[in-house]
Amino acid sequence: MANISLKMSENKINIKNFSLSVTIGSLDSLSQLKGEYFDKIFIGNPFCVKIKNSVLNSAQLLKKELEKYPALEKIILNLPVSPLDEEMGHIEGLLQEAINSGIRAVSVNNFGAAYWIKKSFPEFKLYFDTFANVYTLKDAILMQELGAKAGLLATEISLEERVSILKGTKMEIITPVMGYFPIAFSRYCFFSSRNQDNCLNSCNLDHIISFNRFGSVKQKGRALFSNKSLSLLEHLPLLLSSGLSSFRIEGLLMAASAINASAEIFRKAVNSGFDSLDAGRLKNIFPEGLCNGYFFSKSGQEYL
Amino acid sequence: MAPINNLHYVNKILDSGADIVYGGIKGWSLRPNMFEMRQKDFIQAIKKVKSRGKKIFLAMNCFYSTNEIEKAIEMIAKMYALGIDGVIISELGLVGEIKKQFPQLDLHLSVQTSASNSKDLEFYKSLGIDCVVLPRNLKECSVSNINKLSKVENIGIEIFILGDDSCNLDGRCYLSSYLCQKVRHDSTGRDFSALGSANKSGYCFLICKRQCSYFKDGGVQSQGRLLKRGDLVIYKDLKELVSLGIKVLKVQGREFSPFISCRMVSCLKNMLLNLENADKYNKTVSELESLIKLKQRIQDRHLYLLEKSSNKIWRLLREFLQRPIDGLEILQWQIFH
Repeated sequence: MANISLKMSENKINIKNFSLSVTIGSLDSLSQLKGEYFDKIFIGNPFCVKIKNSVLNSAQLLKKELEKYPALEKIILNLPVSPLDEEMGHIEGLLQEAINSGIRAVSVNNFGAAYWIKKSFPEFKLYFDTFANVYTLKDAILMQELGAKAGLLATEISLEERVSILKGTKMEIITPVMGYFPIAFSRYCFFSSRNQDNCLNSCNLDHIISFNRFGSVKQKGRALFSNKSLSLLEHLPLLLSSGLSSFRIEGLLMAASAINASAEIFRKAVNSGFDSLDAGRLKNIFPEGLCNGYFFSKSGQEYL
Repeated sequence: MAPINNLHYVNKILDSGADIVYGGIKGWSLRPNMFEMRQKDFIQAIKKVKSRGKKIFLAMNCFYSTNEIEKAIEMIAKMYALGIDGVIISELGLVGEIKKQFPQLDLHLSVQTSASNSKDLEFYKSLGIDCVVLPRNLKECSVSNINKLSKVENIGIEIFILGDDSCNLDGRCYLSSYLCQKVRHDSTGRDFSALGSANKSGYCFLICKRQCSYFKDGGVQSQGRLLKRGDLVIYKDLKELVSLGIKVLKVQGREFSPFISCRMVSCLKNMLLNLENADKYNKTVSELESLIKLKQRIQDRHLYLLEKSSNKIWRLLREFLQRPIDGLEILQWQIFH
């Protein structure tokens, strides 16, 4: 187990106006999630449509599962990252079923998709995700002009840059605070490299790809993810005082039980502070260790 | 379109048959400093290229931070006044300002934007982009995909005809900066990640090409360069690509010596001129394949040195050998060809 030392925030924060969202990949997770913890639920692994039981795998499956879900207004459908033309038909099918099911929000990972949604599916509320590569305020304004109401900035930018963009735009800027975040998207599947069309669902197995002294990553779908979990709980007072108020748990690689437990810890941290008991629980949820992402201009896997 | 990484190289690459050259100014493009040009050298390069009636593009193709946008525009304005023909950018936030201030400038969208489908191209066209570079990837650059993309009118397509088949999509990879990044500011205050982040003009540690181990259930399942991809072999479809109206064929290689880049450009030019002459075409293909093998050997050498570079002596050797040096590569060419 990695050595995790958490800095405790002694003062209570007591912020009422914040929102917590989560991103999940499978339909199983959706049914097990404690809906009351989350204001928004991003569904679908945008890095692969082939994973078994993935939300994006089948339009029929999506509709069938969502019919049972009571809080559709919270659902945001993640659209695949940089799809090829040959995949656009599948995505259109998903969007039609999303409309039929009552979903009214989608999240895109590139500007072209935002432009397309604005033109062809104006009924959707538009979100953008980290791989849309919104690095600057000008990018954010461009995304806003395309109709985006909220989204996540590029993974690599620091807290300082996030705050400067937040101040210059009317959009809701969502900040990832916990979970395993995506660090690369590939056209190729690491596990089915010899036969790209034959998905063995191997990325669901417990695994790591280790680059010796550099560190490790995991793969899910066609994306590489951080092996350490992001944790900004100990910096929550700083984030909140900077004006950030919308947060997300990156749950694509997490079991529903771990997502629920993380959300509980997060909500407690905001309302009544973060103590050693919570730190212990966090260690159990994320045995690989914690990191601060790029928020403090260090390597993504570093933990301050 | 061919790369330039130093002033003395400009005439050689134009002699080899390049119609357009592109290069970056230190700290401002998507390459480590050692493969970029000093500003005064780039200005000289503009003069040389223009005197020969060819075109020169400025690569401003990394992602900047909000407070660098103004400086980036200043840099483009300066080079525009000196005669550049176009600029290659990744930062979409720059487009509006460039179109407003420099409407004559040919605006190419970098590989970093990962333009993959017709919807992307339609959006970029609406912004006023003249040409889009497709990702260095066999799927994006396949004849069938380009066939679909080429149906979007009034926007050009540019592809890397020679280069690496990138494991991760360009502009969508933070692997290097996730594992090892050191952010530092240069003397002008520009916040460039000198080490780690390729997207922000820093040095990519080429993690995806290195040795790695795959662990499952606590045990090692496999080891090796598991994520490394091979080369783009798009030149095999050259005839089809030409017939699809590809606007620009690009050679990757600011990190290679003038010798390698010039020979590659020369081969491609010969192939383009001899599309209907099977004998000459096939002979050139054979030479090009030898060059690609040499390129692979050089890359393997770089990777070996990179992996050894935790030791100071190895690191110094790598710094020396990684600079594009003609002599070494000509020697290798003579030994192996």
